[in-house]
Amino acid sequence: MAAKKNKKTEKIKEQIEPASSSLRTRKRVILSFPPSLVQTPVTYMLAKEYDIVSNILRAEIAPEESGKLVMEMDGLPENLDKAIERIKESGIEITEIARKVTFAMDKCIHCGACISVCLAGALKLDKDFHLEFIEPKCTVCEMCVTSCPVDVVNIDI
Amino acid sequence: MQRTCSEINEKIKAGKASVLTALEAKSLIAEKGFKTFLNTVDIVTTASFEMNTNSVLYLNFGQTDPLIYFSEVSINNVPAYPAGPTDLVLPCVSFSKDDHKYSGANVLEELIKGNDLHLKAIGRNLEVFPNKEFETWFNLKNLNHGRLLLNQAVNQNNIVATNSGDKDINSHMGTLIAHLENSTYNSSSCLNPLVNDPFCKTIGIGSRIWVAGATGYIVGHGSNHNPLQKRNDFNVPVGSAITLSAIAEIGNMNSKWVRGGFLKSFGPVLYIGVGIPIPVLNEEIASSIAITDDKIHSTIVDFSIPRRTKPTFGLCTYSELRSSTVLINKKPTLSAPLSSMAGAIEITQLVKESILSKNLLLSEPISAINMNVEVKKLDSRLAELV
Repeated sequence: MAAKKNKKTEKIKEQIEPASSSLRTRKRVILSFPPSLVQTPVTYMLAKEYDIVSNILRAEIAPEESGKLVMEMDGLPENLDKAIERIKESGIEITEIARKVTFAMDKCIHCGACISVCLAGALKLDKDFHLEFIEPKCTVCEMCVTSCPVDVVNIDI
Repeated sequence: MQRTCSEINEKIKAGKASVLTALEAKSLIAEKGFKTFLNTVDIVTTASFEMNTNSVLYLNFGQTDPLIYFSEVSINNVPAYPAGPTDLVLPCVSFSKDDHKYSGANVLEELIKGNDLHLKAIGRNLEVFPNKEFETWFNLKNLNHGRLLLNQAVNQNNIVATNSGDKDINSHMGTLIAHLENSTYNSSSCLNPLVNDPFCKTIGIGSRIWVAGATGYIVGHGSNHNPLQKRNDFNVPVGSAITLSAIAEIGNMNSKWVRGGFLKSFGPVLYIGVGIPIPVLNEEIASSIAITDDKIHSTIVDFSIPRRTKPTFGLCTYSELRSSTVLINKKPTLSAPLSSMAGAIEITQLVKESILSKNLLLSEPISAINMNVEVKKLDSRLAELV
């Protein structure tokens, strides 16, 4: 019984709490439109139904021809997954460009230079002054990659 | 309570010395009081694992056959400078001709790891040194000796850097984001040897110290030595102040504590670990060891103006800085370190262990550090002063 109640309260919480900006993540995707679906207003649907901010990075769409769209979607992780599922169902081909920041922790000297440029707050020192990477907060802005003096931070594509 | 270095050394040899790291000492004082600390502890270990640009590597090779007198030399394509027939000086900031991120500091790191390096030399072609060109692979074991001169092995304190301009700046204090978005500091604060001994009462010329796992010696004051810097109420300078110069043989170093690095749009840097044991000789020294981060101040400097004298935003304490947000001009600003506190803590532990295992003994300074030097300015002059 208790477990059920918890689930209910969690659901209510989800509805009440507005999307907190720190939990938003970004995903880059390539959309391939077949000729029949070129007119689909994808970005409007993403914004209205899933609260996703889409930033178009490249577009090659001509009326009555197949088209390609490279864009970055910014939203809550679960909304991003739902939206991708929805786009797939509608017949548009979607491929994710996965980009991830990784730290070679065995080579890290825990100096903190990367923390100074992480305005997203994904990097901090723990109580023993060791570097801690809070991946859900990472927006893959890549500032830490160039700031690292000992070349520990990498981008995985 | 009075102690002398030789008394403490006898205790170390007998295995009876009481050694604490700086962090342990500070928590002991907080828990059991100053008197207990003064009466029971003989040595406190301090350390820093900071960025360094003022270091030079001196290498002595054996002779080639026929003999060579170096004229133009590079190691892994990093230019080195001749200092005798087969002697080389390699500044840690010298960088490779084809990869500006690979520097003398990386060469030093690889040497200590035992890696093979490529030496390319052009000889002066003298009568007794006829060798014109020479190429070989070598490693640490092929050297007669390698010596590292750290001309700023320890810096008492450092400034806090920030940027109020409209453009991001890449500086020797890391990337500073425009409009006071972030600030960086570069000091191990309460673990720093010269914060625990602010007037160099126990550290002097000839002091035996720990440099990256090897034994090193203080040789005098270092680059940009500024002992007359303004001090706060707890005798700690509010900016860059006393610096110490040290030498150490690279043969026994551990590559974990010698790391070549590169700062974007600035250039090569060397991260090196230095540890100094401070004997608790009397009450005065003990009371300076009691200092904590909230009593150490630093000056916030605006880097948006690239001049010798820069505008400042006043002082802040290291406990504020370590809380990762500091108020600058009434704006909460992200603050982050550039020196490794985790590394410094580990080094204090290592120094403590090497004292307890009788590998590192204290040494009384042969001579005191010069505390009455002014920092000079270099200005242009159009003619000789007669």
